[in-house]
Amino acid sequence: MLKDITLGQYYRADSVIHRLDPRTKIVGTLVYMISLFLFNNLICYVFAAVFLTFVVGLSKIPPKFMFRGMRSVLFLLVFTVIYNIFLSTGTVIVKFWVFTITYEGIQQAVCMLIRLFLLIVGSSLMTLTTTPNQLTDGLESLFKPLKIFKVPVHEMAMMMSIALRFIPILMEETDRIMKAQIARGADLENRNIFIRVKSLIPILVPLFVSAFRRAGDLALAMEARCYHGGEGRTRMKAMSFSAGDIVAWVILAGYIFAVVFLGVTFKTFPEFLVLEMKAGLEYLIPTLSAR
Amino acid sequence: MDIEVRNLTYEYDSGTPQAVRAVDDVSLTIPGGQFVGIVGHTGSGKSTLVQLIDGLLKPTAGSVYLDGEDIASRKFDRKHMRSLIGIVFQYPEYQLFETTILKDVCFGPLNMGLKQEEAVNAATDALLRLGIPRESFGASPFEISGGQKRRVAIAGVLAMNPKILILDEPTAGLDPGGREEVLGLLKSLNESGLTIILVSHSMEDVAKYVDRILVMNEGKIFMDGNGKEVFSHVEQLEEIGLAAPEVAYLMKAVHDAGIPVATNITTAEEACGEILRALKN
Ligand SMILES: Nc1ncnc2c1ncn2[C@@H]1O[C@H](COP(=O)(O)OP(=O)(O)OP(=O)(O)O)[C@@H](O)[C@H]1O
Ligand SMILES: [Mg+2]
Repeated sequence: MLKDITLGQYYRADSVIHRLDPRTKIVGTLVYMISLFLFNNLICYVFAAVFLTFVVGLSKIPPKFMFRGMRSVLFLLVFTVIYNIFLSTGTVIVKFWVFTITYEGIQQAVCMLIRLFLLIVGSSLMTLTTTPNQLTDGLESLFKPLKIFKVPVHEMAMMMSIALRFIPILMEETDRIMKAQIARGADLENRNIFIRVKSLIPILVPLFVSAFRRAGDLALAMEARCYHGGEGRTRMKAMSFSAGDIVAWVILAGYIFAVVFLGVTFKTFPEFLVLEMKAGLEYLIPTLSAR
Repeated sequence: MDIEVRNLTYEYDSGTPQAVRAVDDVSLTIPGGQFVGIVGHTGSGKSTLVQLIDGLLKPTAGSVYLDGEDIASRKFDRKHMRSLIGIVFQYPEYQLFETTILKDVCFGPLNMGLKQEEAVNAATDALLRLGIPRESFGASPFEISGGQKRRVAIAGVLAMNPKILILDEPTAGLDPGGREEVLGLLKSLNESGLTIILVSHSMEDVAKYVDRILVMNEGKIFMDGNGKEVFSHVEQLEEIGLAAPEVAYLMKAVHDAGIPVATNITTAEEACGEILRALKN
């Protein structure tokens, strides 16, 4: 039942992308995201999209899984497009009723749409190819310099990985509790909101009790094994950069160079596309409003 | 209340690379009033099967019929079914949530539409049958021992007065006395007409109490028969990681030592009688 909601939706596969060091992937994703915001120009986006398609291809993740995450943000995408098309000011192309569609609005909408789309696909690529634990290890290692400022980096990373580890366990437990209470006749599908909220009590109480018990048990077990925080701790799975990582860094550098080059060379949104769109809309909208 | 299961299959995470086929094309019929034991090693699909029977999991393929009615059909009254089939889970302490034991046990009956008074009566009755003394009815279900939690949880289901009672490892965590008590209670409930499905790891328990044993292996029904039939295939049971009850081995050793006893014996009482009989002759 509840298992469909997965966080850190890791997709198990054996690919060059999966094998990369988590730090490479985190930095790579970050760089890619920044690259999307550097230039407001379609050619850069096309290039970024081609690059991403190439990486997705390498990752061996079926496109179906790539786009599963998109569904939840569909609303955001639609909202962004509508917001940009109708609420930007600038050169008016068409006007009907209270809406005005502007030149700049369309330009903005198209850019934002592509940008968000690439952003989401790019970041889910990272979570699909990296286990949550690898991610926290990578983050810990990347944030290590903050220790100089007395930031408890290790402790935070530990908390994060414990939290991540516990999400599926608690999900499973919720599922189990729900089944037990449904079997006792708990009405979880009632239309009445008050009955529904009330019916959550038999689920939340055992869930919290067991979460606290688990937390206590875990703390005890960690102490029993002499856990004392980050000082002098080594890893079971030490992270190390491999030849693949070096190749990845080189490709990434090439990518940044190319994006900057394209961004500087083609400064504007291609004129011809806007003209096309304008012609299209001018035809379309009178036709629609005529009905 | 007959249960019929036809070509039932269930896959966890169906359609993903992690898919696990926990129940694989199982067909069986459990007539009303039977005391059925389900055994099988860890992960053989016992818990999954009983949850499918209670309609708590939706089968990947196949169907479950209750008195000939498909429980997945839209016309089927699921709420009514919940009052007919009671299920006690493997970790029943997860279902406790109320402030007192009595209130917790009342939860089921109240959901079934009983009045407060009737619910309290049903709950009191169930708790007493499970050996929880009246004095502790007011205690918090979180402050009692594991074995007591288990009894309270069983009482919580029993109080709903089901026609079919499914129990997944009800005796785990109980001391030997407690085990006997709970299993004895199940036996007497069965004698009063309830269908009982008992999932257990203990060959002794199933051998002693049930009419029919289903042995599961890798999601399939591996054997189906009464205790004597099933435990006569010791080698096959051992192949799938199970064993016959200890007494069966004992009787075999006694037999091999030259005392003429029957070897198809599965409970300690029978063994005792048989050895005495053999020695007297
Ligand atoms: N929530 C779940 N998600 C994924 N797989 C599961 C889940 N629950 C059980 N399984 C898998 O299904 C198979 C059957 O599990 P099930 O719980 O039915 O076994 P069982 O016979 O009850 O075992 P046990 O004797 O340990 O209780 C196992 O391989 C198990 O790993
Ligand atoms: Mg089980």
